[in-house]
Amino acid sequence: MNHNLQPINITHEVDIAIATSEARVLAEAVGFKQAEQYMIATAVSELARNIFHYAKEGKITIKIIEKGTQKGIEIIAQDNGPGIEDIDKAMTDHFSTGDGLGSGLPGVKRLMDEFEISSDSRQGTKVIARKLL
Amino acid sequence: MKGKNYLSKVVMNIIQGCLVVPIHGELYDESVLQIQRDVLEKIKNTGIKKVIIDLSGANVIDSFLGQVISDTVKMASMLGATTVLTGFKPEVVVSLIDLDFDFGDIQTAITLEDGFHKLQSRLTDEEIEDADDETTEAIEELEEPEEEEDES
Repeated sequence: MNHNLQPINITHEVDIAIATSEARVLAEAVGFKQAEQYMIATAVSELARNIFHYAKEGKITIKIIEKGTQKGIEIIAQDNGPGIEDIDKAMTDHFSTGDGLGSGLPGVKRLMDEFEISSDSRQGTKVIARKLL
Repeated sequence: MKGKNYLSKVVMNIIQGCLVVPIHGELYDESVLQIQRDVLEKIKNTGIKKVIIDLSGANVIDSFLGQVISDTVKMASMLGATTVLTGFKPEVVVSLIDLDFDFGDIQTAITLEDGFHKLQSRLTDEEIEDADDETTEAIEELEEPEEEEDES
C-alpha cells in the first residue's frame, strides 16, 4: 500500500490549492484528527505559497513516514529560488520582506512537530516538516 | 494572469442592512484581492455600515488570506463600516494562533446568525448620537416633572 504522492510542482497559484487538499487527504489516511489534518494542510498552504511568491517555482512532496511505531506525515518543500539570506531572521515572527507578506515559516514550525530548513543562493530553499500521530 | 478561469466570483448580498460576504472553497491571491476590492466598492456605492465576512466555507486560512481579511476589515472601517467575521471553526482558530496571527480587536462570531445579532445590537455612531440626544431629552423630561413634584 503506497499512499505517497508524486511531488507536486508549484508553478501556478492553483497548485497551492492542489497541494493543500492532497495534504489533507493523506493526513486523514494516516489517521490524523480533523484539527491536525487542518494544521498540516495549513502548513502546506504556507510552504506552497512561499514557493509561489518568492521562488516562483518549486515542488512539494508529501509522504507518509514511520518512526518506530509512530506514523506521520512529512512535507518537503523545495525550490530553486534566490534562497533565504538570513534564515534566523526569516524564522522570526512578523518578519516581512517588505511586500506585506511574512514568510510564514515560524508558523509552519509551530503547526508541525519537526522542522528543518536549509537555504543558499545556488540551491534555493529546502524545508522539511514532519508531524507525528 | 494564467488560469483566470478558476477564479470564482463571490456573490455578495445585502441582508437586513448587512453586506454578507461568503468566502468559500480554495482562494487564490487574485480572487482574495478581488473580494477585498468588491467589498470596499460596495461599501462606497451603497453607504452600507455593516459587513459580515463569513469564513465557514473557506478551505484553509493561511497567513496570506488572514492578512488580506484583516486588512479588508480595517479598510472597511476607514470607510465607516463595521465588520464581523463569522464561521471560524476550532481547527482554524488553533492554526491561526500557531501562525501567530492576530485578529486584534476585530469582532468575530461563531455563526452567521450571531454575526447579525452582534451587528444589529451594535449601534452606528449616528445612532449613538441620536440615542444620546434622546437620552438627554428623556433625562430632561424626567427631571422636570420630578422638580414639579417636589414643588407640590
